[in-house]
Amino acid sequence: MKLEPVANALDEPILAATAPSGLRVFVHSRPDWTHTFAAFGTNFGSVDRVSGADGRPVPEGLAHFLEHKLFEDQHGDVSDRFAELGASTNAMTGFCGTTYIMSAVAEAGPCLDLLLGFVQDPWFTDELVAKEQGIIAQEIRMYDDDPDWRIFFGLMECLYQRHPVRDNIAGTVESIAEIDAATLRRCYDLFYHPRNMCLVVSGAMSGDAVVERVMRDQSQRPVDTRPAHERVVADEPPGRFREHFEERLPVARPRWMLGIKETIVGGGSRELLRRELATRVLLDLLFGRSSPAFEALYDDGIVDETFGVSYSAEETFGFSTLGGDTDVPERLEERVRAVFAGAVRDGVDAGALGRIRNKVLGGLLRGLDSSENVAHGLITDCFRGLPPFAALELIDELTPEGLQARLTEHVRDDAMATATVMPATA
Amino acid sequence: MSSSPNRFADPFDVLQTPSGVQVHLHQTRKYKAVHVGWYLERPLDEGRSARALTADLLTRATAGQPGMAAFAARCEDLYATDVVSSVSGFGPAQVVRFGIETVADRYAGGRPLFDEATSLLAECLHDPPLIDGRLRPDHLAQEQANLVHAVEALADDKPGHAFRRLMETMHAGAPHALHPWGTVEDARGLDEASVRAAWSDLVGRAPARLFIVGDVDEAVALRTAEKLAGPGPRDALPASHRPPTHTRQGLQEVIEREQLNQSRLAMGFQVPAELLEGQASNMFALVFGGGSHSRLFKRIREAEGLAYGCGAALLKDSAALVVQAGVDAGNVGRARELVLEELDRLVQDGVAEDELELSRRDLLRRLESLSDSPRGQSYFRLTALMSGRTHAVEEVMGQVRAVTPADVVRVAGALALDSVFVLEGQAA
Repeated sequence: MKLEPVANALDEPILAATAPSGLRVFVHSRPDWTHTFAAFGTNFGSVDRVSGADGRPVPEGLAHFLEHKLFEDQHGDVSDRFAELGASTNAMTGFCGTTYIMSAVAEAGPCLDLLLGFVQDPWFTDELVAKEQGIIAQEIRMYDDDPDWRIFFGLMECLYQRHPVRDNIAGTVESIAEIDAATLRRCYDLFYHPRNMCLVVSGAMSGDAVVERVMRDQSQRPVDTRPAHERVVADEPPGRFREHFEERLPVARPRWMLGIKETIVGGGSRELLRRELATRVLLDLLFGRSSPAFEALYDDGIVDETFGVSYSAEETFGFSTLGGDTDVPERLEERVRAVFAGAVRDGVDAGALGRIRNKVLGGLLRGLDSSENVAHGLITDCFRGLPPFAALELIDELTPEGLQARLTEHVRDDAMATATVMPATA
Repeated sequence: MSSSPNRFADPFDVLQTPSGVQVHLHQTRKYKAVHVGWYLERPLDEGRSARALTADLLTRATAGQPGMAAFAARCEDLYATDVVSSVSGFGPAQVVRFGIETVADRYAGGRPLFDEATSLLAECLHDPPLIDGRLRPDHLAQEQANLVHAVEALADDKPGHAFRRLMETMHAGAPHALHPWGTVEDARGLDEASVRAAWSDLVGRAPARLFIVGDVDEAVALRTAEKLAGPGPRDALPASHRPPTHTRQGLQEVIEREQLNQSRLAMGFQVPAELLEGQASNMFALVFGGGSHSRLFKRIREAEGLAYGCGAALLKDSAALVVQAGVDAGNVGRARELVLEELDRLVQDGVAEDELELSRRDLLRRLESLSDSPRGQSYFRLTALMSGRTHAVEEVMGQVRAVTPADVVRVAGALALDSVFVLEGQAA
């Protein structure tokens, strides 16, 4: 296994290699840094509810449950061993991936060994699964009291009818009660194999040191001949499922959110990135801090600093969200829809496009000051099959005409839904 | 500046401007961006709401860019420079921070980005949009309404709300009980004159410290300080803030009920001020509730399965240790018992050296990692200066290494439960 430089738009010294097992490895070595951060990810998240390999269903919340359970093996709590090495560890599960992380200073090498070891050598027993069900149930209840979480998933339930992106990442108290050790083992074997995983090390550790540790670990493991996980496209209608979600919670003010379901999916990684970039720039031009619409909404007291826009896209789903706290959800919705309608009618004011390159470049450069940010970004790029910082290469391709086309393609009435969280006492 | 052979040696140079601004400069090419923090300090117990509003008002526009959109566009053009303000409390002090984070000049194709970005921040501070010398009424009304909303919305974050209510109970009548944004009534009561007076005092006179981490030399750092400080002399930095001495005895208990799935338990312990020197109290907090290896995590989450998380945090500036957990309503009493039981067990049985070593290594790693975090190293230094403790990371690491099991038990034995706040949800 030999690390080779990865060409990238920022000329960052990023190295990559593939271990004989099939595991992809990226190193962003920073000799003048003190700590080393490593992220070990698998291309398996909460939306993966049907395995491509055996076609059997994966219970809701299983990816997240697996994440919890890997921290306990036959020797006890893995976190304790990181603590003995003076390191910290954690993990996070998203829609499309699960990532295990560690941060170390003094003994980064042994910590990397430990990270590789605990993720690849699981230990499941029904007794430990039962204990974890209680802990995760508390985590689910905690999120059920979080108005941001509730409005987001309320919106997802409106946008999507069948796609698992509509489900809570952690599952429900009922769904996790059905998980047992055998199910965990089956799903682990399906998704946690080297060709479906990626390791990124960013920080003080040298590339040579990473290679030595990875080779020692991977040489003990069989060569992985299985293909990386192919995400199954859900049988999902293009339009929204429901128009509106509303819930009452103990909050001070109403929260409102509009979602737009992406009706174009697939097309390959580069096309996905192009779509993502164009949609984000479009939403930024229409509703970002430098847009006339945001200024007018703010000046009129309809929105405040909590208002935000975002776009997320993966192979099988995508969505935009806009919203924030407001005393007048109906007026905000009218105004947002009017901005979209005006842009469709009159064209997107693309005068700000000239600033976008500086903005994107500045954001990427500043992101490099965080090893955590670098590592998570490289894992995402790896699973997407894109070079690092590819957005910078595509930014110059953006044109007013292209943005206008994206607007009419994405912003469709039948793809929109709204969600509100109202004060419980109102 | 050449890199030091000892990576934990103090990386900051301290400079002083003629107008009395203390400049802490860490000149380095390690980062892609330059981080600037302009910290202003005033007492929490007077005028805090007006200063909180001022912080919001000043970072939305300038006289040159009176509209939000134009101001944001200028930031975008400056390679997405972040111009921010924040308002926090530290002991009896309110700290207003204005900051920028901007890409280092060497990535901007010869453009003097740092100078442009700091000039923009100086404009924010000294040249806001005015009409006849007064703050614009429309801007003022919007930011006042937003401040009211922001204070009201603090209660939406249930763990934060429980923590704040506990502090209010524990420190009733003292500045440590006050939220740095003030109350809804404070915010509603502000008028143009009071906010303009707060602005004038804050940007013109309030004691100031400037922190810069990045590729900036001394001359530029001093020029930046003068630019941000403006013309007049500034008040001297106040003496360091010592933690309060607790005098009240007896337990206070507050229960509030809301329509929640989960209840929040918050327990506040008094920590004797003399035990806050050195690192024994920090080490105790880590052993007791500082992470996945801590006593509370092992017992309440792992052994009993009562909570997703249960932890303890030491607040040196208010001489308090706060334990928090989210549990089912029916388990609040049990969780509370277990917290006290674990504390008692620590006092009675002591702590083994190998258990202490886990916390020691954790704390050392956090201290060592500061050198990779521009904001972290600035904040660590600021709070050390404000509390009159050493800001030399290496010295603090020495203190950590010197803590013994007996030191930790001494802290545990000296704690006194002062207040319990329960935000009660539905029983389950």
